[in-house]
Amino acid sequence: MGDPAVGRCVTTEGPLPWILRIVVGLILAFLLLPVVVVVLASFSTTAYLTIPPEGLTLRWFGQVLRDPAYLAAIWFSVRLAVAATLLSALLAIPACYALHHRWVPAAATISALLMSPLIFPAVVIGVALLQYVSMLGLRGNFAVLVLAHLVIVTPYMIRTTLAGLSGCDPALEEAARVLGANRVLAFALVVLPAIRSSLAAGLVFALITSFDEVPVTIFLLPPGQATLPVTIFTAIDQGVDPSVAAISTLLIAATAVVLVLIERFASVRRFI
Amino acid sequence: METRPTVGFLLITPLGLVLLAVFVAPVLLMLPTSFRIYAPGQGMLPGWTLANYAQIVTDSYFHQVLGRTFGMGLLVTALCLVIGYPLAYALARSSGAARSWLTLLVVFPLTLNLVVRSFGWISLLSNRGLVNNALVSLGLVEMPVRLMFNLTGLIIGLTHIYLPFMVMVLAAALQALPRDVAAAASTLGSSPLKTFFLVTVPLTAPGMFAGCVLVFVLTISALVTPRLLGGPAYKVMSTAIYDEFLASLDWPTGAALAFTLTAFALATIAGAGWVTRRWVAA
Amino acid sequence: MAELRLERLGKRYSDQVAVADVDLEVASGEFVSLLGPSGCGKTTLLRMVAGLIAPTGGNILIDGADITPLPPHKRQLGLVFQSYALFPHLTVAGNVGFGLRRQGVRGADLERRVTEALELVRLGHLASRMPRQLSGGQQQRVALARAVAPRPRILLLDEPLSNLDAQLRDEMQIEIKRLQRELGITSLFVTHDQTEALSLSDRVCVMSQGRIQQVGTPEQVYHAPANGFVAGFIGMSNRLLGRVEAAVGPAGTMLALADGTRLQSAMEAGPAGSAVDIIIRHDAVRLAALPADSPAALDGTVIMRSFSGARVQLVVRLDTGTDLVSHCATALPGAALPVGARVRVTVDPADVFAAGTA
Repeated sequence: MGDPAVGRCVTTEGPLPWILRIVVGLILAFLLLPVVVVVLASFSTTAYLTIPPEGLTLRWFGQVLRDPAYLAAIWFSVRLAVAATLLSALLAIPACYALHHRWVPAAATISALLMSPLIFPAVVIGVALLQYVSMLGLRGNFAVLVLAHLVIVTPYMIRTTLAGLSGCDPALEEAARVLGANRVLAFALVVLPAIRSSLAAGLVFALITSFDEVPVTIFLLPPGQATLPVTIFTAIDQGVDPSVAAISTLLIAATAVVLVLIERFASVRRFI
Repeated sequence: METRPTVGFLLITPLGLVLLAVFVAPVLLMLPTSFRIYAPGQGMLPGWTLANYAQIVTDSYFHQVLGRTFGMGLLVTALCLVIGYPLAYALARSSGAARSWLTLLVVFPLTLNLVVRSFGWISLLSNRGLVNNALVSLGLVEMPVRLMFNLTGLIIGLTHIYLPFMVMVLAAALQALPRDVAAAASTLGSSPLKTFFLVTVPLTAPGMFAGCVLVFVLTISALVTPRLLGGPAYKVMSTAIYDEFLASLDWPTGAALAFTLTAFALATIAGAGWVTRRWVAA
Repeated sequence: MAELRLERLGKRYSDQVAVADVDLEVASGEFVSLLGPSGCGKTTLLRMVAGLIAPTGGNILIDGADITPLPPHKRQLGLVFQSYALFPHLTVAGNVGFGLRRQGVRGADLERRVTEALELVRLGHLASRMPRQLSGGQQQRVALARAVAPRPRILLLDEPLSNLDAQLRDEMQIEIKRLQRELGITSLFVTHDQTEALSLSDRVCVMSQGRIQQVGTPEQVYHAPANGFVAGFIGMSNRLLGRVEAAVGPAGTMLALADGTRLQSAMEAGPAGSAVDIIIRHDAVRLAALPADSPAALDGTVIMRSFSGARVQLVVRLDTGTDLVSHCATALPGAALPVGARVRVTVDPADVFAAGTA
């Protein structure tokens, strides 16, 4: 009855007990600690952050931004993520439409199968694909890498698209049909706009997932080329140098910007 | 709406074919590899064997790797549950700006690249890292304490990585609590603590179970963090698979390990599904 | 048994007043309804009494003792929620026994009192069911039994019938009234449904915008509304724009409709010239047949007629252009008037109310 505290009652109203506030503060500190440490280290003259910190410098950022290996890796990652995401949307949206309307028998089973790469250990998909491309003589093929990423990101695409479709009033599409639109037009003019925020969520999630992917990618890279995370991974494996902190800080900043943009134009909650 | 099998199949076939060619076929084709005979230096020999699986059951090295994987999985799951519940509770009860901020702070690590997050823990936990640096310069220890390349480092890193997943699942469960049940308990004479244990915990038990299954499966399958924080020597199943395929080139052993890991992951999920169905039916 | 007293009880949020300094007394064993449109503050008031919302001012007293600072679990009140809020993980018996266990009741004693409470709502045979296996009406009864089982000092009911279909609602009304009488328990009942409030209560407290508009017996609030809001909210009314033309004596006013039609009201309605809503209950508009060409201010023509069983609803267009709705019992002569009939409208000045325009 016009009372904000009644709308969503987990328990009774009132602030959290102070002890719980302290605990939550500590947990958040734990979550953010490694991020803060990386950012501070990237401005420090030493490879690791020290106490007390030593000199301040922007040298590592300059080094990273001039390093052709990192620049190539960023470009490679972006191309891969965009190609995999767009292809995934192109194949997944029609499939979801058919599944949603139960135009195929055993639609529930089929959606479960389409989602199954999500529950497979990624490293297993990676080694299986490694053996597969070796047999086919396609090792290091970019198209194979795009298809591998498509397998990884499609479950996210399917999940958000199906959620969008089931949240969409079926009467909308029926109304468009009664008003004279054929199925394709009704889908394009009415259904797609109605589920656009779900689609956007799926696309963003797919992009981020593909950009971040390591355990499958690492087995399938063309010689001499690598995605950005794999480049950082290899750099760390070979021993830490300060440029790793700098490129990590750039990734942290990019992630923060993306999140703030999402929060501004939609809500982060719907992306989970 | 009417059934349209032909159109339906047309719409679903392209995706189905890609998944068949790039997911199902590779996995199935690895199955025979896991039964091949491998000789160091010569690669795969003709003939078939069960030895690749048998060694996982008999060899003490693999016992250690398996034990480590599951020990790690259970510990990380338990830690995520204990640490995640208060945070999820605060998130579910918050509103307005506090809610947006909490959500952002939980989601931010989730979206941040795994390699970067693992690197953060390396900067903290390695011998020259921040923690040891502080301990030594404060005179608390003389030699750096070993926090990495062992179970400690893996547990800390993986708990950090998978905590947001647990929090999201638990927060959803807490928000799905039926309206007013906690208020009802308090009007019936239940103190806040009693209400929490008598009403909130039992009603979110399915959510806790789902979160635990998710975190456990993700933890035993993780590759990047165990590799970076465990190093090449301290192996779990996924890093062992990685090394068999890329370093020792013993693909049959790697394939057998891969199927063993997959079987555990799928069995955990199937078992959890069965338990949940029984639970709901009861 | 206990008596409840609210003293200047208020709840302000940063941008709005939900409940404004309410004074109310509920005598021991009395059944009082809080009646008002949604958003009027009645649920907030009830939740403050239960301790689920902290008031920003005033006191809540039970038998003279101030319970305002007590948390809900120490107030010994029973609350029936609109959503029932049954614990889905406990059986019916587990739900009903929940409050008793908190009081330390155990063993055979617990079992006996749970059974008693369930017998009271005639659900003794369903003790081992889970809440989701029950119908809406049964869940409602369990919620009632759960609230009364620990013998609370006061029973609070928050729109308990609003989730039931019409027939079940009538049954449960009788059930609640019977239970309250049998236990003699002091009760505070929140509803937006005037029929419920009028038929269940010893006294009705009509609320609007966080304030009490009138407290009185059902007959008083129906027949002698204290102001235009109560008159307009209870019963079905014609609501017409008008103004005060002149005071015609002690506590009497001449009102004028926008079209110039004049009406006498028995109530005071403010200074001459002020704009008011003129409220006339449908059943206060009486009609009588007229010769076809009689020209008088309150004469008109029946333009619509609809039959609904016990009564007939007629819409009359006055010659000045204003439409009035009249309800007429089927047995009365007015009920037989056909569409097109010329009629003379009469309204008792005691049935004409004015409210300041909002």
